[in-house]
Amino acid sequence: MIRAKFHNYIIILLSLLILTFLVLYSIQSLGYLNTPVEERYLLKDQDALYGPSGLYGHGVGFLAAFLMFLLWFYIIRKHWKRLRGVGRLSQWLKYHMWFGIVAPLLAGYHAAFKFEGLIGVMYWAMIAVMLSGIVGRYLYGHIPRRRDGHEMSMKQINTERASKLRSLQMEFGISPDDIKKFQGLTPQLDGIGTLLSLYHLAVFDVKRRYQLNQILKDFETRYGVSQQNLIFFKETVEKQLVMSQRVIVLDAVSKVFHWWHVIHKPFAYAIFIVLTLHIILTISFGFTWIF
Amino acid sequence: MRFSFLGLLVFLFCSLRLEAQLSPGPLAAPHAHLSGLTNCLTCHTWGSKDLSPKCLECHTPIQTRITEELGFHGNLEELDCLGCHIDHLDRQFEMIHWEPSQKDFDHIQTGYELEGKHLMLNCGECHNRDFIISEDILEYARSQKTADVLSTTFLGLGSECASCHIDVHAKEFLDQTCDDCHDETNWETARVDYDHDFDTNFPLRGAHKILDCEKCHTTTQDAYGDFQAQRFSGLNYTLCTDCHDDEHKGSFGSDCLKCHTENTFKQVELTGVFNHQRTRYPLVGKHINVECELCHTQKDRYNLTSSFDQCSDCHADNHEGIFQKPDRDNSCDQCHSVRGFFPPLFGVIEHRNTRFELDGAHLAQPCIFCHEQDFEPVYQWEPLNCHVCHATIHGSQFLDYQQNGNWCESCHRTSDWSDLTFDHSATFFPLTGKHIEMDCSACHISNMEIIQYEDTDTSCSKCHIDVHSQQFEEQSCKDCHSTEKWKIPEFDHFTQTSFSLDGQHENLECGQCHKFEPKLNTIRFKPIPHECQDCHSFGDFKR
Repeated sequence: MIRAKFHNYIIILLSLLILTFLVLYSIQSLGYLNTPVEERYLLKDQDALYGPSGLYGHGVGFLAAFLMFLLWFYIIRKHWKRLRGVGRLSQWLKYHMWFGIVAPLLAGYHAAFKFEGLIGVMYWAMIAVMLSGIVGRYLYGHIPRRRDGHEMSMKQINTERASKLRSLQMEFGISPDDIKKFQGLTPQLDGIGTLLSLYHLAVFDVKRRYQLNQILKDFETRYGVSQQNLIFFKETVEKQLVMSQRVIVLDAVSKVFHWWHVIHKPFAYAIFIVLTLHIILTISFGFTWIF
Repeated sequence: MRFSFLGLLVFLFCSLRLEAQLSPGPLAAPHAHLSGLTNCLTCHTWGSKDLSPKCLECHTPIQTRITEELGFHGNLEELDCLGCHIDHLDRQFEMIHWEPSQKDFDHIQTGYELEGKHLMLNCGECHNRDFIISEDILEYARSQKTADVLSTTFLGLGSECASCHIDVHAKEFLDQTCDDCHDETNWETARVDYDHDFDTNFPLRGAHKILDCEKCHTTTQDAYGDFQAQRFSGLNYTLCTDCHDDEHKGSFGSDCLKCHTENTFKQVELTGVFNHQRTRYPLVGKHINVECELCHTQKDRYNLTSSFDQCSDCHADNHEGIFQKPDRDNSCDQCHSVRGFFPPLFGVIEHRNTRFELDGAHLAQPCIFCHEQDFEPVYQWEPLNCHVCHATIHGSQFLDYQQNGNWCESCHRTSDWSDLTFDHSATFFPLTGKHIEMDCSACHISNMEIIQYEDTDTSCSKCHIDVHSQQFEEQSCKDCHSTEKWKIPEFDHFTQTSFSLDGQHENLECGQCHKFEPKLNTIRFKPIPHECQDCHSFGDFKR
């Protein structure tokens, strides 16, 4: 738990650094970036700094490419069995996501927001990967996982649910009728399609906070949960509700998540290829930044 | 994984052309033929971002000018083609950027400063395929299959005038340059520092100095055969008649300068060889300064056959023949001389011989006061009387007199309008006493801007105020007053009133009984109560 927070702090710190840098960079290069692309070369001094091959512009591109390559460490960590014990996969994913969001942003500044040709294709591919990554992260969060980040099997899920229900019955004295009523909050969705399941998934997420508050208020009043146990009680009830809802849409989420790879990954590979080509071509044609 | 690679392939090869993914953008139209992945290295070099050497490999005319330090590119301090001619921005992108604009481009950067009229020209008027003379440009244009170089290039012009301008002198001045005579401000005229007096065998004098060149250096069919050319050499100028027509048809010889100067043909130098005084008509007075053409107007104008007896041979009769009488000398010099039509010789003395001898105030009047009406000269009037010049100010008065033409003279003289001959004693109101001393206007006052003379009211009250406040309404003023003096000299209280003065009353002053009465605002004369007690109290009487 402590280590997860530590990574969060690092990501917040990095975000603040990048944000500060980009704000300062935007202020400095505002005149240049506001000039039409066809006229920028006439601003020779600013073009030498903020143009794609300028001192700062190229540097930002260099940083974006570096982050783009760092993204791949998550993939390596995920698939290379020898690295399986190195950090929790969910923490790696945070960095993966952070790189995936920041790198396109930096690439935009590197290209001075000229999104045509090679740079343009790569940029929109990056945006597609980033957006699909955000959707993927959402789906990823709805697949129950163990602490090490690996997916739980259906058996493990059911065992977890049963454990939580038992806790509610044994430790807080919730009656079987109330347990049934509680379980009844999650409707059965047998036989509906994948898209409808995803729709219900979103509805669950929106309605869950309200449902939780209703149940907790009712149970607290009737069962008199002590202050010491209140947090644990709330967590148990919430987990039980979450698990119930996620089991229902698990098949649909798993199926979509599987297909989501088909979108996310090809674009990612394309970026990797085009980025590599871009770097090779620019270096080949003499654009070596400060080196 | 299988799906991922499939998606990747679809993305790379189907969604967009591969070329578009490797090129930073479409090449501009002049480089469009270099589009395509296989052409990258036509412009780019491995390991160097400096494309200039590659640019100049194709753009050989530019390379030539840089090497020879000619033109705009030859004067650049730094060789960096991309600094000005960037590409990959779009097909329509203009690769030549004019600073600040094509029209305002500082042409001195090309090594050829635009001056004078050149500054007003549009670029295309000089940078025209017809004026391109540089062989390397022409050769380069021939080598370019895909572009019309001659229509777009700004290179290849010569700096000599003849590279753009036609030699209108038809190779007449091959040993000189155009700017020996012309400058860029005006092609039409030769430069001002060209000195015709020293640089030619024909110094310009008199009117020749202000002539336009083409008056002498006429445009004729070129002797060399090509076109109309203005000739500046080989002109005949020994005799005036080489340029000027001989109006005298040779009758005065060939040396025009005997009579004329170069200042003007119109004036003959009388003190020179030609002397008009020796002719049949010596010039006198105003004739001396008259332009020759005013008299010598006809075809054979210098051999006039006129006798010169009559002024009307040359002059029009401004009087339209009114002085042409069969019984007298009708010549103009009766009134005018050759010293000028004005003033005429016809004066006061001559006027005595007319129907209207001038006297009095008429002697002092300028002629035009009478002899010009509505800006037209007038010399005859019928009938001739005062009214032809003077308007009447008496309106419809004196109708009886007006029947007579000279009725004004009944009262007025020519010496002065106010010097009257009028006899007031012949009127119904002969002037007597104090009336004789009065100005006419004291009695004859203006009525509607016409002074009333006829039917003037002769009653005393017309002019005099009744100071007695109508006490004597039933009496006439004359009963007491006379025109000699207003004050009554002898008033007989005995006969003229009902109260005779006697005794002590005789010694009284009038005012002791006739006192000022405020109610009447005058002295009361009548009626006055004349009982004793009306004036006296009982104690007043002494025995």
